[in-house]
Amino acid sequence: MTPGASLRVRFIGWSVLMLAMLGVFAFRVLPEPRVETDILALLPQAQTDRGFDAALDEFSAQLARQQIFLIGSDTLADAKLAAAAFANTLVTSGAFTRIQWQLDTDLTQRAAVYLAHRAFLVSPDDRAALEAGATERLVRRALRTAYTPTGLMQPLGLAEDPLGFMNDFLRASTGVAGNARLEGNVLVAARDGREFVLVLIENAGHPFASATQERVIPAFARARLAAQQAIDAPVEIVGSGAIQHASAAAVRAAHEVTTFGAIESIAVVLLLLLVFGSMRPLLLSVLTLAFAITAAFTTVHLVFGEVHILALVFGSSLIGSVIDYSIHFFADRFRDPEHWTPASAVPLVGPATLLGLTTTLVGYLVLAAVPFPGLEQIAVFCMTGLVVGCGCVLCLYPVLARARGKLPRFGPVAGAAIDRMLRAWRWTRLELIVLAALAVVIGVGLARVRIQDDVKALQQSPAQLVTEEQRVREVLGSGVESRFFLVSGDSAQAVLETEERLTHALDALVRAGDIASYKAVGTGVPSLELQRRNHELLATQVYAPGALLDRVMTELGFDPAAIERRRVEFQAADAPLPVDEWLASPASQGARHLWLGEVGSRFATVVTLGGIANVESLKQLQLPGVLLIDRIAQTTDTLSRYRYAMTLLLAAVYAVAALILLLRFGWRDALRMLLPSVAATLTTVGIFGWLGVPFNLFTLLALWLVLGLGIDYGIFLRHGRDHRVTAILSVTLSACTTLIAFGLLALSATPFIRSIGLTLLFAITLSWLFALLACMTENEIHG
Amino acid sequence: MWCLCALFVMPAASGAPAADPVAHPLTDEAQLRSLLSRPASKLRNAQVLTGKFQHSRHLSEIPKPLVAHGEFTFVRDLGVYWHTRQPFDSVVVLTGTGLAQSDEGGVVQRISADEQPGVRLITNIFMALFTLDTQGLARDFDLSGGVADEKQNRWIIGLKPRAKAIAGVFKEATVAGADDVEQVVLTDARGDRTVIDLNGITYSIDPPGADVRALFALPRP
Repeated sequence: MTPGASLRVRFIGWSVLMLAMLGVFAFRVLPEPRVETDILALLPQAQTDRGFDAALDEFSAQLARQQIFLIGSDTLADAKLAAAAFANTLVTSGAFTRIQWQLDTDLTQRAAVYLAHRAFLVSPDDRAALEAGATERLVRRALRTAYTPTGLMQPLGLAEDPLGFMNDFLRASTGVAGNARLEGNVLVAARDGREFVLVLIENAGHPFASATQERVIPAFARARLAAQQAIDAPVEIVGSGAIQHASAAAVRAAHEVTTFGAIESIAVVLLLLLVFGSMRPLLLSVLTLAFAITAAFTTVHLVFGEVHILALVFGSSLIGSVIDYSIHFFADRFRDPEHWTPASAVPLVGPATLLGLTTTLVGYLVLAAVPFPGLEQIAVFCMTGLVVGCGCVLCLYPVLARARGKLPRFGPVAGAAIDRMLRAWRWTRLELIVLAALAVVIGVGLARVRIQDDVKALQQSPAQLVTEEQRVREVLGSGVESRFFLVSGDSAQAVLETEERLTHALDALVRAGDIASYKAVGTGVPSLELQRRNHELLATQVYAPGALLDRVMTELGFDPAAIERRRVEFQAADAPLPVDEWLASPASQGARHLWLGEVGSRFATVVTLGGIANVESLKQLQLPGVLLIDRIAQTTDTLSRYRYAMTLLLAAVYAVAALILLLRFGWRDALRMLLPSVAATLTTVGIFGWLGVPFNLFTLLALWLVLGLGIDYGIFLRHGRDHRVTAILSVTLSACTTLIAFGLLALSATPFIRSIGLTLLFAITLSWLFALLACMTENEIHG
Repeated sequence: MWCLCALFVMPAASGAPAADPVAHPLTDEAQLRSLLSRPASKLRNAQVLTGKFQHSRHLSEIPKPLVAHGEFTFVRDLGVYWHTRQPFDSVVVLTGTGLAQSDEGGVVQRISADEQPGVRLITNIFMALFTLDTQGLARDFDLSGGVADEKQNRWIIGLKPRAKAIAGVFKEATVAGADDVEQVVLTDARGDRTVIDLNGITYSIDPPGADVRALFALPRP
């Protein structure tokens, strides 16, 4: 078989393989692509209940759908008018599942279910008084209710509740969050002489879904306008909730992607046209990248059953280095423009490409060996992508990359210019001293680096939204809090009993000012155990002959028959309030969503928090069956663990790569090929230390890309010693395309995108510079 | 319904002739203002009002009403200081933000208006009564009423809560008087009544002295 024939066989074989891969992608993956977007899914799997996680996710999602709006004006009447206009406009949009600014049940309806079970319900304060035998206080309360205007303020009259137990239970069980108060049937808060009406809203869809945003955001704009037009006085409208932040981020990201993407594409096309004078290299590079990403996506999907968004983002950028393989291949033509054929490039470019691929693959093998689900995915994604990319270059290009037309002079001229400068470079003592001084400066910078894993800091919201959020907290004493407690147990009653232990501890935190409030189903429906205790207390301390009931009612002048009627009523009531009845009654309105009920093999409920001032105090609450769910902290923690693991792995991969290059080239050359990327990485991080740019997982992502690219620069320069200009041109070109493709990201307003851009901007420039200086200058030190 | 209650309420109101405010519907605010012009003119510049009250509760299950006596002090912009002397000593201070109550000197309880819906409602009614602020009352209540007795210049107004949530606390109220506000009657959903009679009211246009202000400075519990 001639070399040409063997190339054709390779071409056909690889084409068939790619077509097969596309077939698998089209028929196995595309019909039902699963992309996981929850960062928490990257945590190493603990033994958890699948159904349980689903219920938690559902509750978190529901929290994320919630929003609070405050419609404020100088008078309450105006605020109500504006709120009505606001709410009505939202209703007509149909984009919301709940818009509430007026309570639709009155106190009588809400009290009905409690009255039916009053023999079992006592407020925590009253229970404490009864347990302590502090009956004097209760007698005085009853007399005050009878003889002073305070009696007028109770929901239940003196005849209906002569001892006030039910009134106190109603007061304790219908707490309103934060500084809000119930005025009529409207929730109201006041601040700085201004009255605000609360509008509680739940979106119809996930806040990060663009379909939801497209419906919700314009509806808010219309509602704001309607509220402002409803009254003559000025209206203040502030809101709190995830969707506006999500929408702002999405709009900005879309804007950046279109702007930067357009500029980048044009720049890369211009550069490649300028150097190669033809569209072919560009088209083939794009085709190669498309194959590589499709193959990587398909493989990960088949192996793991889904693709995590982080693997997709990381993997796609990392296998961006296959573009370099294309560039190196085409740049080889400058070696001998007259007689070059694609087939002749293979023996020269092939070994270097394969060596670069091998070192990088080893790196990702290390990544795959770490038991982090996300890292395994990234590794598989990258390895597949790189192998496919490399295969395309070596198998398809020899046939497809025809050398037609004249090569423009620009490339060789630029390459030669750089070459002349490098040849003229002399390593004198001065340069070495400057280098040593720089190393010290960088070392100090490294010590100053600020690490940042906070997921909030990675997604920055516009200042106006942040101000609104603060204003809501200021007026209400609480915003939409994302932290909550999960209480679980083997039965509904076990859950309620555990929740009672938790709320007992939370009461102490409220008194200490660590949190402003909490919301739990137990304030409305105590556990049967507690209800039995209540009943016993009432029976012995209140309804027993000669006890509290007799004393108070006789003193007030009730006739004995009236007293006996109440005693009989109490004795006839033998059913405590069950959870189901409470859930079905108007009394649970506004709290029943907390009850998750039977989930998988367990029962669960949620305790939400308001106005968290001290997160640590919440973390210190350790009770069996109680879990503090903090999605933000968990996400931050996950990112932190990944950052830590990937930093160590980066060092490990450099060590392994050093070993491979050492065996292949000996230590002098291995050092020259590897040191540039190591130095560029350290220098970049050192500069970040001085500039105050935080170091995060996305900085690290960029540094992994630098690892692959930087080693390739070294290998290609080392292989291209006999054709210096071509090698320099090839490496310079790949550095330029990477800089163009990622450098603009440094201007992004989204912090994590900016991290990637900034890191690559510094690290790629430095890698290129260091690689040229290390491999292409005279070895001897002069002076 | 209102007629029945009014008939039921009025005879019990000591000293006031039976009259049905609905028979003289007066929903026009201008008319209402002219009706109340005499007491209102006295109140307009008053900074401090003091007087005595009798607070009696009529329950169907109790043969004789529960009667309390004491003195009140109303200070514009501060609130009402309600000092019950008989049958026991007890102080209730109502302000715009809530109420505090103390028996024999010590503060027993402080309830913020945000905590208990009825607190703000009753506080608002008390404030509006002492200032005869019909505009303020009209916000939460349907007002009705009229002249009760032409010769003695007596008037009476009826208040019916508009929002359902308030209706859970009490159903209706009447306010009657001549030169001063003399009587307030509140009726709850069961028909049990609270009657407050005011007498010996003095008006002062001077701002409250430090001693009066001190009444409102109850210590925190």
